[in-house]
Amino acid sequence: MSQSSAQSVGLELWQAADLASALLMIDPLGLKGISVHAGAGPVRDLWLEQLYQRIGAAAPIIPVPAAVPEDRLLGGLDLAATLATGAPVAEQGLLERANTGILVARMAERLPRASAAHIAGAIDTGSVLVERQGMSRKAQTLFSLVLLDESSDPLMAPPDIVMERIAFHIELDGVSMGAANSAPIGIDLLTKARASLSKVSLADDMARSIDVAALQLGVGSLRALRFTLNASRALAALDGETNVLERHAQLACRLVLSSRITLLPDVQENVVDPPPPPSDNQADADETASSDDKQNELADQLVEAAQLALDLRLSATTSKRRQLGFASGTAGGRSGALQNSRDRGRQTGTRIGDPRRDGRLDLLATLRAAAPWQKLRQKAADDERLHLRTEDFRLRRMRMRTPTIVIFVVDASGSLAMSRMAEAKGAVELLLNDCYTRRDQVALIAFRREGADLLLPPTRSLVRVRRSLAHLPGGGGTPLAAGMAEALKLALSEQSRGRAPFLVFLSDGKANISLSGEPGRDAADQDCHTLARQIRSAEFQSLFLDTSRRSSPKAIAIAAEMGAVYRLLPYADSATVSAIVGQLMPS
Amino acid sequence: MTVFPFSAIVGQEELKRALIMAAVEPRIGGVLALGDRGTGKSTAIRALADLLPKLPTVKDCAFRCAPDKAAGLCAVCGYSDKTDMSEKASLQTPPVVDLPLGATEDRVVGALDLERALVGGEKRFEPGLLARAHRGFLYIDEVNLLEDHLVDVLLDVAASGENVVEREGLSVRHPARFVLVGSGNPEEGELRPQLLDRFGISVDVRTPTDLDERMEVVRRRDAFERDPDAFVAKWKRSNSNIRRKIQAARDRVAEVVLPDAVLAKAVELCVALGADGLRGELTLMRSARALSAFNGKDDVSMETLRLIAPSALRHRLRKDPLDETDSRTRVERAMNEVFDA
Repeated sequence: MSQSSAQSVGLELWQAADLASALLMIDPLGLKGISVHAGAGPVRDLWLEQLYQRIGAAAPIIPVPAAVPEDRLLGGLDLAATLATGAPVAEQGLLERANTGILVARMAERLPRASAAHIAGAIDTGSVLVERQGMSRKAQTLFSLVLLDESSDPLMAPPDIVMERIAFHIELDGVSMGAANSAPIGIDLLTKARASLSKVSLADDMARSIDVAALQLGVGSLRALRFTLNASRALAALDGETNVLERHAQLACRLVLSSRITLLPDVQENVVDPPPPPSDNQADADETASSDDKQNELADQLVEAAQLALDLRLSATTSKRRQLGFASGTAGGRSGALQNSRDRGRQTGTRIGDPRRDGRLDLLATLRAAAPWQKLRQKAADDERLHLRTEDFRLRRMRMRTPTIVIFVVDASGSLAMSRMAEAKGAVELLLNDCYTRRDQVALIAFRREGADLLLPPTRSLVRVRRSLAHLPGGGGTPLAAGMAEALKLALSEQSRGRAPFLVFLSDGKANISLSGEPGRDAADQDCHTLARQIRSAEFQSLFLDTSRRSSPKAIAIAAEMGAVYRLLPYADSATVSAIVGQLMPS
Repeated sequence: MTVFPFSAIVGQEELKRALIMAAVEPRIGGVLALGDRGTGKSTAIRALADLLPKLPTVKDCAFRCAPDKAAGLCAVCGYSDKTDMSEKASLQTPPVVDLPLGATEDRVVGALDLERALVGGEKRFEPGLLARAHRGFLYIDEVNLLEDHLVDVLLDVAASGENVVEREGLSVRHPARFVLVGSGNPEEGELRPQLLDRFGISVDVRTPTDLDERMEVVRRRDAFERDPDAFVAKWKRSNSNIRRKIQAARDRVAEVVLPDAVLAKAVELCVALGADGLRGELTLMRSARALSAFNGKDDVSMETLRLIAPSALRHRLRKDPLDETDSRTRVERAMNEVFDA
């Protein structure tokens, strides 16, 4: 991409982000929130700053750390104050404190599901429910949610349950400061728009066109539809119009639908119900037909607008994400930290902490820690009761079983491609069927022609397996090295998320395409060996299922280099594959 | 908290029917709603709270005891067994309790009340979500992603109807009978077969594609969010109508007659589908009765059976990982064979 085009892409993204923030301030009730995908940096800070200015000094801005404990979010008892005073002292939760303001979740991609569920519940019901013995209250809370998504990997976006409930998913990744210095939409304009919002009307035809467009883009969610309609109203208000015009609808589709597209219209069939049969009255029928035509025409324009915005987002981020995705993998050593869970698994020791916030109290250890101080504390307080302080608390340290991710790397080259892929698919399904009770996942990478593809991203869902692997590609050369590289990359990224990767190769080891995509056996072999050493040094467990008729020396060599278990399996049928994998899987 | 009125929900007939049947006859064993996001699953389930007829309950009892069967576990019920607490009875709406994903075991089963223990030196049990859901509904959104250790707890409690807590020097057992309601998107993970089997009815929730219906959903939702109180007031009467019908159905569900011919078809259908165990037949019968009672009928008709069969059987088919036919089609095929024969 040339510099100037990168600049103009940046400018457009920035303007979209600015507009989204303005619209949210015009109709916070109807639009609910924004997620911003960008690394921490001056561009994001500037955007946040402008949002804060728009909401005004009076409204609360409540940051939520990613590791926020449930009680902080919902409110409960202030333990330190309670212990100090000897009587329960209540504490307001973050959700309640954000009422009339904004809740800002930093590192939203790390937001635990439980916290996400509470936030989603508060958005849905407009209230928080705090219920503990001796204390039960409901508090109203209406806030806008801002998710700061710093993920480097598209698989690691913030939890769907909150993403689904906010109107805008904004992309600021790759936008430079230069692009970001255009003048923001003025605050006086927003005030005016807010006042006139209730007077804006949206014609029924227009609304239906928007819906047709959403359905054509595979966005069935009614929440998304509502957001698009509300965004188009807010846009009209900002424009000083009393009716939603085509351009508002177009812009609303770009802002709301582009990030939610699941279908590209040229490959999909007609999802919309056919128009009703023509009535007896000919004139009437003509009228409906022409209005239907108009409606569809507008829908086509809206689809196009949303698609354009999608292209824009992709062009800004794919190159960067790809680099980042690979680089982040090298920091794989963090998995140990993730396996130490606060409140699940088996106890392995104790640590200092707050029992209300993050774990289960180890009573004995707590008393032991408090014991030496009792004389002193009783003297200071001049009584004889047991004195516990927050620093005495000892919590149980728990360890969870690390879930496994089985990554199948399947040779889809040559004439046997189809049957090998089909058996691999069968093995994936059988394996998933067996590991209901474990948190294990399965992914599948296929390599053929010049490269490797992640056909099935990590999943536990049989439905998804069926859908993704319905059409199996195949044929061409054998880029084993590319398959290994893709597997290594995925394994590293999965390891950083706390899973133990287990690589399963199904190939005859006869590589003939090098990593760079060039044909040639020697270069291809060399690349394979390099990658095998990398896989070994990352200490990933692996299994090499040789699908040649007789054991191939090349396959044995690669397997040995990788430290893989080697099996000869000329007829790799799904039942056998899944049985071997099940046996060798780390438990 | 203002919830969206049940009667204002557009479409989603199968889900609404399932929830009503579970409200009439809790022994059906719970409702599972599977489908895409943004289709109004949680809206419908949360709206259920307003439809449930009130139950006599001991006032302020932490375990929601029934007055004639007080468990005697808290200060209100007097810490003694089988007390008759009728003088402290009041009519209360059964709870619809949310069990959030990632909830800790402490919060679910209950634990030592830390405040009391530390501040007052008192050993007291703080009831968890299971206690709060007693005699009501327990709702789990994204139930297919629920942690395994919580699934174990749920299965145990659902089977025995009581929650046994042995931890931190506490030894408590309290009744916990509730209707399990789960929702989730099957693309994000499978449900454990044992848990799947616990749900009496399963509903396939699809995104509506009819434009008029979609527009109406969005219009009502918008009206609700912009002025919840006015919206709820507008639908109050139709909600109370449903509530009254549920109450009436509860009173007479036991008297609804199940003709032998209908029962025979129900059994035949289960056999044709290889639906495991007796649970399939039981659920079919119970939900058919509940729906007939709700509709004011004296006996179960063949049409009613046919209407509810997919929801009662869809999730009970023997799974073959290599068979790609979806369960909806399999049930329909079997129904055509059995009913049209």
